[in-house]
Amino acid sequence: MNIAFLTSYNADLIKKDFDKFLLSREKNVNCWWNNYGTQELVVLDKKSLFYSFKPDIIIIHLEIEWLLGDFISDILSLNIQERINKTEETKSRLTSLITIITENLDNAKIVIENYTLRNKAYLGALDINIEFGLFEIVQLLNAHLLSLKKMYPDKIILNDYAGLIKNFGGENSFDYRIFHLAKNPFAKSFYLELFKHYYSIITILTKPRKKCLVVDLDNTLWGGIIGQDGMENIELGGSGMGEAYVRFQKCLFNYYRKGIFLAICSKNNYADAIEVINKHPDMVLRKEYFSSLRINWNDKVTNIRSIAEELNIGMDSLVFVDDNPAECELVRQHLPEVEVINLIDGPINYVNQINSVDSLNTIFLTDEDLNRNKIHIADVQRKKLEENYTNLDDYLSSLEMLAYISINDPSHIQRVSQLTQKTNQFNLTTRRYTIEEIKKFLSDNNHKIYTLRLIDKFGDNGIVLVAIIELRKEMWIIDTFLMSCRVIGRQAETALLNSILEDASKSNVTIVLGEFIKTKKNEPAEDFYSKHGFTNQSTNEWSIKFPFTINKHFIKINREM
Amino acid sequence: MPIDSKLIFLIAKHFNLKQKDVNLNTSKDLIEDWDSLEHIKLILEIEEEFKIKFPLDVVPNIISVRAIKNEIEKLKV
Repeated sequence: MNIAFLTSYNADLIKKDFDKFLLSREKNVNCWWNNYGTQELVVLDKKSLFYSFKPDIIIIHLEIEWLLGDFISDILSLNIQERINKTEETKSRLTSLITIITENLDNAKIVIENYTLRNKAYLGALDINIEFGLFEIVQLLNAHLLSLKKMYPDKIILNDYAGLIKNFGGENSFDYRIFHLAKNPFAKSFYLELFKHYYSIITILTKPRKKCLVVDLDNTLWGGIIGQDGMENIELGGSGMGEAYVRFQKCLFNYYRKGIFLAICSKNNYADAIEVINKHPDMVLRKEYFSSLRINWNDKVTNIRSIAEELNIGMDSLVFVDDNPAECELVRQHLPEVEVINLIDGPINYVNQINSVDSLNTIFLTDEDLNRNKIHIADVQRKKLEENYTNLDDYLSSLEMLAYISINDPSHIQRVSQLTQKTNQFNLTTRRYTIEEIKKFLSDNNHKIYTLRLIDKFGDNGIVLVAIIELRKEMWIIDTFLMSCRVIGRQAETALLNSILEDASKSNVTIVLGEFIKTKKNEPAEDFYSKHGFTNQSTNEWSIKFPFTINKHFIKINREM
Repeated sequence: MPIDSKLIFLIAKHFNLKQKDVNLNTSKDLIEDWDSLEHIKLILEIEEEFKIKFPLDVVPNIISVRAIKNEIEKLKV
């Protein structure tokens, strides 16, 4: 992976240190930094090293002091109208810089650091009080970054440099001696914070997000031990410590909102704990917000394994959160794929500890993320229904399933890419595609992208199946066929394949080819082709000839053409 | 560790030299890699190690081991 930095400061002082920092965390990452002062030139010159480096990620860190130049220390030299003009000029300068980059580097992600003043004030109390003073200009430029992001939503990611400076403090972040000598404003003691800040956005952009937070109860969601102290005496709500636990619960609730499953793994009597969860007046996280509960006396390793199984997710999708260092160590040793957060120093610090876990972080929300937890509750109801039916056909028809099948719908691009990236189980070829690659398929006339949205009487599952078909003369090739694991067993794969084969018949296609590429995880998809009337050509290749077999299922189909 | 040997250790490490090749008389013109950028990096490392901060006007002028040592002593008093 290649990361290019465009900075307004002289990076010579820090780039070797950053390489070292990165090397201890990542392999196969190369960094390129512009020479001091050339940050605009390298973008304008299409033959520059910036382009030949072929960056996957570009981090643009332009300080407002550079953008505004001498004007920053003498804004009173301009009248209001001139200050407005200066702001507009700066905005269009940024717009054209970003536009050139997006036009010339198709697949790169562009991270833009937002703006903050190095100094608290240049004109003292006046800065914040005058019209088009520095404070207003900083706000307008930051608002402009948001509008740039709206122009290129898939490419631009904003990064909160201003927040970093706020947390660390201007006094600690900058060293003007070094700025005057070498045009790098940062204090040496700040380098590590800055590196972590850059690394965090790189991580969010390149690593899969975790799917579930597994939390302990005693001294995690509330203070004290419920089995000993009783509901009246635990610390939860009110002021002081009790309020700090409520704040932590609200923080976890935001992860639930963002589509992360919450689960409990706690050594307690079930009845004691569930009474607090259901009845304590200050409890934020009620029972229905948890996708899985393990409140018992089993060891936590066993419980975590069974949580992963119940939710049908891999161990590497879990984050385990506990205040007890011994439990954390046990989980670390036995389940190395699980990310373990040992909460320390009391509930006051819990929020920061969770919020600094990059792998729980995300820069966008899909509709599926927003609905995932709703969908999960419906899953539980479906499972209950399934237990009441002895006959599978009766069960499936009782679900009253309806599928919307669309072809080449541009509004599905993000979801299609996301599903190719993260579907492991029911995935015939496990080909991963970026948003840009999916866009290319949509525009090249040689591909059809099918998406299936499944609704049943318990709710909308969203888009859960994707098929990418390569169209050749008289022959279609199924490049990708995948299904989200939460709808496995509902015959939606049959419904989608039927539609594909019907379309193939109408297009005078005589043969449809499929491929099965075995991985460690895709066993559930192994018999897909044999079950649907395809014959085996070679180890991986399957085919079906016209007239195509159409298979039975219980889903009402609605084709959106 | 006395200032001299700690300083010599840091400078040798920074420029990848043997400690015996660095002494109080070593200066910027005697070490090829000691350019103005490396000078700033070196000074920042020394500041970190000795927990001091050299004044701005001093930084560009302490370009020998002895000069750096003298400034450290001034600040450490």
